[in-house]
Amino acid sequence: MSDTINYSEADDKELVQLSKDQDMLAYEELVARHRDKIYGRAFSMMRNEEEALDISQEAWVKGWRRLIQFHGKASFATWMTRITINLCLDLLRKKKRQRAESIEKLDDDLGGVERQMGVVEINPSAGLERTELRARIDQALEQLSEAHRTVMVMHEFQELEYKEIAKRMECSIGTVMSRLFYARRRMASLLAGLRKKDEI
Amino acid sequence: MELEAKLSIQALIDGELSAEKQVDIERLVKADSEAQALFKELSNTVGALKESELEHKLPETREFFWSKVSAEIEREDRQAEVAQSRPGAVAWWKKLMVPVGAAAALVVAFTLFQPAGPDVAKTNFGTNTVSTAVTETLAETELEMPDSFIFYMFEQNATVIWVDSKMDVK
Repeated sequence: MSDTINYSEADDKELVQLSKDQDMLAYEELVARHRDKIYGRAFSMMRNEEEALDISQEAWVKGWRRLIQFHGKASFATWMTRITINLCLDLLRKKKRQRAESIEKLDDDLGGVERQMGVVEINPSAGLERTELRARIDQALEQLSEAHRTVMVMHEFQELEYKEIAKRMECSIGTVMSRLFYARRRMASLLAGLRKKDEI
Repeated sequence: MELEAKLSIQALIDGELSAEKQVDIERLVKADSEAQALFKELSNTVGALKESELEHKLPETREFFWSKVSAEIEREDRQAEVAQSRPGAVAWWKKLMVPVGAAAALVVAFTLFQPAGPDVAKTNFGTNTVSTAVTETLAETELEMPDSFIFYMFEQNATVIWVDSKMDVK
């Protein structure tokens, strides 16, 4: 069967079907197509190359095992990204258990300095090229706490609703809302700060 | 402004409010300058973040990354195979335990309840002539007395001496 298939020209749907039939060449093609996206999502959440690499690898192994559960309601890439996010959340929870961060957690939920912060009037994207804006956002993401970054990536980049984020993060919708709110305020402040820095 | 109102302004931007609540918050944003400023800041941030995720490329070649993924899949497959074969082996041993146990019990019973024959004496022998020869499960050693012998049963932790009843033991 493998000899007659042009994997690089087959679409994701076909490759998924072949992979479900244990065709590893088809799965290799899927990995090659989406590996950057999966790694990118893991890196956005973990901000650590080594952890992002390990999670990507684990996600692809899990993907292979769970292909039978994929029914094509979402795209294959979206389905894989969900697996990746769950692995990131597992690792973040594990890391959280290993360290005492009660003060940090309180700040994440109730707002630390963001609570006292005045409204930022600068529009962070005005007059900026998309590539430059992306680089700045990436830089600002690095400075957010894990909890703020996680909720922001899930909402802004993964486009998940409050309810879905709460379910995945095992917390209330209220917690998601307040974390997202303070994450956005911090992000606004960081982007404005980067802008001011450039103007000096 | 209360936090609840601020979170509602955010929910309005995210399209997470009920129709009824949406009307209320829109009214608040129009009427209150602080609410209006916050609405603008949040909208600007959301707008900036939209489709602005920096692409991070996997820092490994296609071949190298796939070799790691496929090796892990194969390793897990092997592990699963071993795990599957293990319960079968246990069941096989369990099946074998019954006949082997029964046979062992028969041998012990037969050894302990010999119908007739020479006198049997049990003792902690441990003397120089016997103990050195005991290395097998059932080790036999001839005594210096003719027609008599001694053996050690490890399972019963006992030394058995067979003595010919017709013979005088001094």
